[in-house]
Amino acid sequence: MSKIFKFSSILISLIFFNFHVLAFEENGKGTVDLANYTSFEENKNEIIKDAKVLACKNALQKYVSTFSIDKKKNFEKIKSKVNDNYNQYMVCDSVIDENLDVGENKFTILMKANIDENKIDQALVEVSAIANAGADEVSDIVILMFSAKTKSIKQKDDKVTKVDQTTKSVDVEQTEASKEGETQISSETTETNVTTTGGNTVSSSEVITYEVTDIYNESIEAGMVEILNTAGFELIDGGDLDLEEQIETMKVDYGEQGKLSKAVQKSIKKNIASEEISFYVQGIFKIGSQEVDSATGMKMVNVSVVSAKMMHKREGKKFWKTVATVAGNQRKGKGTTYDEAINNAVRLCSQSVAKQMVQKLNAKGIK
Amino acid sequence: MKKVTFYLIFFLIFPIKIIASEKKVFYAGFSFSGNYIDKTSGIKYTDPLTNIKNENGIDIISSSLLKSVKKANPSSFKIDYNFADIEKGLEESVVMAVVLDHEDFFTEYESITKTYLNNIQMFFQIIFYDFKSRKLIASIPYDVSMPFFTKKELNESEIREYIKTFYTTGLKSLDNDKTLNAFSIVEEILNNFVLKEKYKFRAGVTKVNFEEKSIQFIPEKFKKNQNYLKNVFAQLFSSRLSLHNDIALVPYTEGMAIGAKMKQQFVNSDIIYDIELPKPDFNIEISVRGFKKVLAKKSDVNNIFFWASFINLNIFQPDLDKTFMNDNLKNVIKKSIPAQIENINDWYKFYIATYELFDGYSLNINNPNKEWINKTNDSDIFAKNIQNVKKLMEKLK
Repeated sequence: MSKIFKFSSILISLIFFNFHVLAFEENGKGTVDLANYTSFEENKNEIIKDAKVLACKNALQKYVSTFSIDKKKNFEKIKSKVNDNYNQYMVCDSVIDENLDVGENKFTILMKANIDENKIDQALVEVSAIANAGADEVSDIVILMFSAKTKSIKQKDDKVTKVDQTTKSVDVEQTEASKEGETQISSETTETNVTTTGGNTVSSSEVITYEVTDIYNESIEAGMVEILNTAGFELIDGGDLDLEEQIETMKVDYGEQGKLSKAVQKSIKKNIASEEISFYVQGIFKIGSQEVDSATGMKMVNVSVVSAKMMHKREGKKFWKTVATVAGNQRKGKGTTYDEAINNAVRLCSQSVAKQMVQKLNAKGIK
Repeated sequence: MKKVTFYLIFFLIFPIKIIASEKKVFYAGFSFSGNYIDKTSGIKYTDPLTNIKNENGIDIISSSLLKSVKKANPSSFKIDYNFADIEKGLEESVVMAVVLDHEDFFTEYESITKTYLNNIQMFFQIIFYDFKSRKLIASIPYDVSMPFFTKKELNESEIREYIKTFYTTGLKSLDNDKTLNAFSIVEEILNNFVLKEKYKFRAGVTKVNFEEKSIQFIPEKFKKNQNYLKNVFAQLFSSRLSLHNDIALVPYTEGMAIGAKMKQQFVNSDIIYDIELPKPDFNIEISVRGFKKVLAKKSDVNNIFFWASFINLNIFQPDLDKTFMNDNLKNVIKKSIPAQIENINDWYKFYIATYELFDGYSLNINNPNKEWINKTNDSDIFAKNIQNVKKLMEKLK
């Protein structure tokens, strides 16, 4: 009775459990050379089957081509497995169209593939060093990332200098070059006096100061934590580490200078290391200006990563090293309000940062 | 024990929906099918009306539409006025809106009676978009023509007031004594419409091009913003193709309707805006080759004019480089205009000629009429290509 009850519970849970599947849709093309077969009519089923396999693998290839360099490097570890068992990683059974080219003696088929991104990501995680670390090797990580909004823009007036010149020319004897390569020129002397003849203008660029804020930290964490957890990290709340002073200094440094001072970086490293935490992420997201999407009228904001670094200190080693750097990522967020748009953009941007960092770590085999 | 196990396995293999069996369609309201930047030029009469709120804080157009939609009782789906949750998958993925594609006002002057013959034209669609499969699963176009006479030339404010009345209290129908507003027909359309969810593949208009011989006839207000007009023509074609052939489409543009209004019906404001329009599996490119106006017969009483629209339609599968149709089509409309009418609006006539061409084309795919085929394109290859397109339509269903 108890066995049946257990079995039934599993079945019922399977019925009602909601699988959130991420599917990447792609069309794949497979072309078969008919010279390898007796005739199209005689071998039609086999030809179509072979073409379908090529088409599904082509769709997979197109999907892989969207990967970053690090993710592609990681994919090499599972490439054979995925290729040989592609049916387990996608649904590829819809024929969009086919074409028999009599002139070229080729048969081409176009298939629609829905690639299960979750399964592929899972397979990548399974072969990563960090995910294969033992239970006692789970890596703690602290996230020290902030967002920066434009606080002020100082537009300096262009600096105009009027230079008054009087020139006195003194001609020296002009001698034509007697040998090839020899050149002699007149010299002239100039004396600077006080009369008007010209001037120059030095254009100054804007001086922008930022207000560094942590009001979007929830969105940053939301974007990063799930990906870091899946990769084998466990998040430690920065607030538990007695870093308030350093965090405030970081905000001021980033806001006014755009970078951290050496002193505060050293202090952070010392504090984190003392808690036996071997990974932390620091960086800044820059929140762009508020815009209106021209197509939909929704509020829109662009968020970019100014810099994001993952620092790691190996056990027994003295110094922290930068093991992953991400910069330049940009994501747009939309919403009915600007706040919503910013939260969406920050979350998307932080997801992309976390993904790239994990890919870099896996590529280096760091755990 | 065995009986219990059998029933549980049965339910796993044949999942049964325990909740209501009717398909839920979430209501998004009224919107504009074009892009946000085009609304002040494309729907300049309707746009300001969306800012006039009634006592409940809802704009007068949306309020009028809601009254009509609430009267509807469709048999194949249930209209849900709550928010949808995209994470519930296909159960809560279809959203419906009534959208305005295009509106226009023109006037012609009759010098003997000193009367202005005014005409307001509005082109709507009821669209159903599935955000899970990312397909426009239904598009039901309808249009409205409001001719009326005045002794003086109307200014924009007066035109807008007329349109406002049409959206809200309504105007007297030309056909009978009924009072009709912009959405009177929506109830009937929804009641008679059978929603189909599953479509295999999608087609979509991917390019609209105005060639030199067509540009000269385009009104100045559209010449400055051809992108708006491209969307109008894309919607004109695709709505008719979808209606008469029951296929799913990728919209030409997300626009305000799909990109904003419909997406706002989802609770998942963190992910819904990431859902982009997919690439169509089969592409349609429309080239507007030119327009032509000819005075066929002149008299003191009436002049007979022809207005012609010349289009090239290219329907192909880009990955296979396979073309189903790449043909020139034409349509001519003939109208008798009283001789004393001044300032005949040619653009509207060219638009109607194109409208009829697209409508006729979409209808004739399934049931080709020889006479229509000959007058549209009398080449043998065109008749053959119509058959190719018919097979393609079957593939898309």
